[in-house]
Amino acid sequence: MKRILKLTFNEIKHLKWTVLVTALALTLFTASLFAVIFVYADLSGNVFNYFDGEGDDMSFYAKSASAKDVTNELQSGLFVGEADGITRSAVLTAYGGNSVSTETEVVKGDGSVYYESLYCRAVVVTQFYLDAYRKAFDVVSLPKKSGEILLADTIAEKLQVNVDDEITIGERNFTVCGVYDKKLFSSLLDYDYLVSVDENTVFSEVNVSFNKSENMYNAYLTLQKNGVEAELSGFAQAMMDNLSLVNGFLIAIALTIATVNILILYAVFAVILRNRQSYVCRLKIAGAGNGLIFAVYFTIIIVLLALICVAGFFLSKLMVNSIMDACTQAFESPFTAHTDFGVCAVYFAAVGVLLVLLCFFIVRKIDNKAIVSVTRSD
Amino acid sequence: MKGILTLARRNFAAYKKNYIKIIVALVALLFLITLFCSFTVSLKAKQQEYLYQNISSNYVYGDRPLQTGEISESFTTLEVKRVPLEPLNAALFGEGFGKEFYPAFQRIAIDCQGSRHFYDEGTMDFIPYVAPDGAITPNDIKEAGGAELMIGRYPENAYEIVLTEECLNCYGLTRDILDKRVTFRAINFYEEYGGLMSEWTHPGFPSQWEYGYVELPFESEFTVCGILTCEYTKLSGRFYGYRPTAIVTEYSVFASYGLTTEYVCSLDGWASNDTVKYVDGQQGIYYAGEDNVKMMDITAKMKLVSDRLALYFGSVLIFAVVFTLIMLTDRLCLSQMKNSGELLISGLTNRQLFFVWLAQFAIAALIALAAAIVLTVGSLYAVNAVLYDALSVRLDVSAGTFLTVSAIGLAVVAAVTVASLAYVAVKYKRKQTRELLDT
Repeated sequence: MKRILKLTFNEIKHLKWTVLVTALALTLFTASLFAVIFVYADLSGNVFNYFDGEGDDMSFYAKSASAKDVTNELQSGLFVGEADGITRSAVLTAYGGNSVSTETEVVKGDGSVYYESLYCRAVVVTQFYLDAYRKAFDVVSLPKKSGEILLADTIAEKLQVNVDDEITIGERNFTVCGVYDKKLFSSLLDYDYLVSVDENTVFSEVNVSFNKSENMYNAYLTLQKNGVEAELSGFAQAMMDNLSLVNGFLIAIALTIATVNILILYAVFAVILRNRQSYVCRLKIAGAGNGLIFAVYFTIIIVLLALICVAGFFLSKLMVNSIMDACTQAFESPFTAHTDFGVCAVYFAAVGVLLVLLCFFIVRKIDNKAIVSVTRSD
Repeated sequence: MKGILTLARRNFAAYKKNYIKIIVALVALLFLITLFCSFTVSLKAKQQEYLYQNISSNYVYGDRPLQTGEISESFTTLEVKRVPLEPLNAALFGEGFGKEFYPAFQRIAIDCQGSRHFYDEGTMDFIPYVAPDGAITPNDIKEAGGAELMIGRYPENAYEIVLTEECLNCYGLTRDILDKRVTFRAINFYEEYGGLMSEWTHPGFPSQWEYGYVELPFESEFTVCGILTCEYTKLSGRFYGYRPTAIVTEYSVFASYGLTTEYVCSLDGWASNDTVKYVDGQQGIYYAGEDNVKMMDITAKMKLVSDRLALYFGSVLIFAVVFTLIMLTDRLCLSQMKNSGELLISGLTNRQLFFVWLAQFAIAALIALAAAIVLTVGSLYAVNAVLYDALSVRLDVSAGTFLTVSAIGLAVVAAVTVASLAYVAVKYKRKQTRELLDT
């Protein structure tokens, strides 16, 4: 152990200038990588908080979408819209044979034709829906599960149905969960009927609302990935598009720096070990085994890496704080970032393993042939 | 010169194992500089494009004209237009006719050559906005694309109108409508809910359809003098962020409303967050729409954040690149110290030795550049694929930009290498000869 420490100390003394410059360069690379990761992890959250504080509209409109498209955000969303064959171009039929069509052609006195349409909506029962309409549930029996329908009294009268009766819309069966007086509750609801559908139902047009911008953003991204075009308010659209751009930039930079970091680490340590080849050969001639040589360089690498990680972490903290201060000033809203030492530990472990493997192979590569070559050269 | 190159080539071959490591490092550094610059340029371009296409970036409304340079030094007023506000236009198509009146607008029918065309509710893309008169001029259309964007001409006389192709589609009309007279008819919103109201009424006033009475029958004849093609909608960001449905001239005045004026100040781009603050803080000056303020505001803020990110990371990384190159040149020259000493003894001057090293590094740098370009192009595609999959965004760059940033990367690496080599050459000049003599 004493021998290892002595050799290590001598080697560091010999390489002090190289070690210093290497440590500086790698600390800067590592600090940048940590800072990018920390900023990426918290920037979106801060922007979402800012957006939530602005009280802007957190809904979007989409065509040809189903609630299942956004499985992860399903329960936090309110999905209300039009579904072909259910709320438009549909015929409601009661078991008694009475039926009502959602569109009726009307011919006027002058021969011109126009269409009268019922005002109906389909809804997916989610937690958000149940929370949002909690008060309405007290006065009107809104659909609480898939397959239920709430009818305006005018429609129920035409169909001759009442609560718990079954009706069909197209090929689907629905149970009447309530009949409400449309005139009396016009300020609360003005639907001719409100029907709950399952999450697989494809809406021809749907309005999706959220109470948190983060959920809206995730749902919006998921829909985009599924090829569904969503329309948001200008502000939300600008916020999301810009946030995606900045996040994309951060991801791209993080990937680039991580790749470069690994390549530079390899090149730097390989060059140093290559430089010290004749010294290592001499050590071997003097009786040192691979284990001892490996232990010396392993100690140097691990100590250096630990110092780089710690220095990089604190430097990244400074960078992140400055960036977040700039954001706070720009947004006039507090922006904070959490600098997690765990990232540093994970990085140390991953890079440490890579470097140790590198060191192991390089030391093993210095075989008898190399020793003979060095001896001849001397 | 030839001798130096030959020597450099031989040395390079002799020390190729060392140079492989150096090339890896140079590839990494070139890769870093090229990609970092590419992503930064791409991000800035995308944000600028976003501002240009989606936000009413060029116009500020106000009750007074803005003077040149009033907002900030880097921000100039290009043009001030005095715009007579016509309530008819505002009521029919304009700003005041917001989304909340959307259903009412849907009830507008167009009569053309004896047949009545109703709005097709299936075409939900229809956006019933038009910029007020004078805000869009023939010159604007010309600048934005001219003949490709407009069939026919801009309104020159009273009761002429330009319709967008999008508008025609919504009403099931074709381009044949050009030069024909059309009549806009506003159908009462409640009509389809039981025919309680009389046949025609004025659209756009909530009080009318809220309280259910009829005030003014609205029926207006226009000649369609131009059609804006669908291409136009792609450029709509220049015009208030709305996609206008129709343009009417200032001659189509309905005297039943009072005439007011306002100023549209055409500005040289929206520069920064400070601009937003300035304009926000000025009474009587406002943007084309509340949403535009917010869109511009958030874009300016995110632009500021991304600028700061690029500045911080760029500065730190350039120092890291410099330190890495210093370390590498030092180690490489050290590994060749004996060889260099022999060259000095055999009559090579210090300057010639410096050029030998330089030539060796140049060979390594060229090999690294070739490898870095392949790696960088591949990475650009891979990273963009990842970004598109995760965030539906791309940070791609044009070939020209890519070549420019690659050249910048090579120039940075070359400059730092030359400086570093010069430093190392001075540092080891005496040591090499002395060590050689010792052996």
